[in-house]
Amino acid sequence: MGSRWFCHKVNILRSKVLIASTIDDFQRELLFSHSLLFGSKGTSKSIGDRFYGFKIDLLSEMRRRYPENSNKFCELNDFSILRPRIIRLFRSMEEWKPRTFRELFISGYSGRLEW
Amino acid sequence: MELPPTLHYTRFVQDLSFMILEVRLLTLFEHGPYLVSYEDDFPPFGVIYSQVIRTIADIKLSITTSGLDEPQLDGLFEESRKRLGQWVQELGRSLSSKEHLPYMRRLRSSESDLSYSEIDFRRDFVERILHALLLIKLDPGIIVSHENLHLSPTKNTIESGLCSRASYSTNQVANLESANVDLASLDAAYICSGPYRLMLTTLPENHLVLDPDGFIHIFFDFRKTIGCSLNVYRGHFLWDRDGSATR
Repeated sequence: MGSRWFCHKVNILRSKVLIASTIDDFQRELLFSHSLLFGSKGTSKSIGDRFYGFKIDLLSEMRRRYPENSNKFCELNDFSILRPRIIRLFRSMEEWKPRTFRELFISGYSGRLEW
Repeated sequence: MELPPTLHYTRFVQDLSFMILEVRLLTLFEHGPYLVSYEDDFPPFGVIYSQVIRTIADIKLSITTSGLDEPQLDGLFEESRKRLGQWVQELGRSLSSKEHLPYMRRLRSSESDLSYSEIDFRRDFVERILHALLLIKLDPGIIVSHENLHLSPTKNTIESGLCSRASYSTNQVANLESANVDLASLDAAYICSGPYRLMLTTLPENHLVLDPDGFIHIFFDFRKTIGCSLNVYRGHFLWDRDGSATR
């Protein structure tokens, strides 16, 4: 009975650790993805400001929260949770084809010169 | 574009898995701090759920990074299915006691609301949770409705799910990895210069999902520190009733 109780407690502890680390990972990847989208200066930043409704300095935020990542550009390996989604998104972007007459006048993401 | 039946199925089962979570929470209120006492040798739902999620993450990582061939992947999946099956069976066992009958009836009525009927409710129910969890991770970003819901026998569903997983892993992932994904293209200006548009969502699970109308959903919780609203989950009562994780 003692060992069962111990195992039970260990399981609970393990569950807590797993959940906490998953939240950490997701928050990190969330900030990374936002900084990729809206972090670069120029049009993306102004889109971000409009998007958020107020100014957020994403790069400073990244430096503050994740100093170990501040000097390098994000890689796909930095996204353990969102990686499949990012890959899927890129695939959709690459494979996008116009489906209506109107869309014929929209340039896709790949082969822009061909268009 | 019509979605494959497995995706409809996946969403359906996802809903059922939320229902089972609800049942577990109800039993928690009845039975005190833990869902079932340790004498039953049954870990709380949170533990099982975490184990399942972690196992799926392991599988996913193996598929995307290992470069295993198809027979090896099939072996890996078979093994994982067995492990997950054991946990989910434990979950089902805890629902079989007489005390849970009212909740089971409620589940059953919810189930009929969704126009679903199969005779062996409990066994299939827990199996479907397992399949939903597996299939969701196989094809992230699914948005489906219950319209035209089609359910095939469980075995067929697993097989079709595994077939899509096999082709996904060997062809698409390999192609994409080798296509050298350039994250610099994940830029708002670049995305908006093409056919897709960005939109806000307050649902974290929809972050970076591309919907059929060409909108990429971006999670934002309207905080200066993006994502800090998720801290609320750290001390969720399901796994942190004594508050030790947040002290």
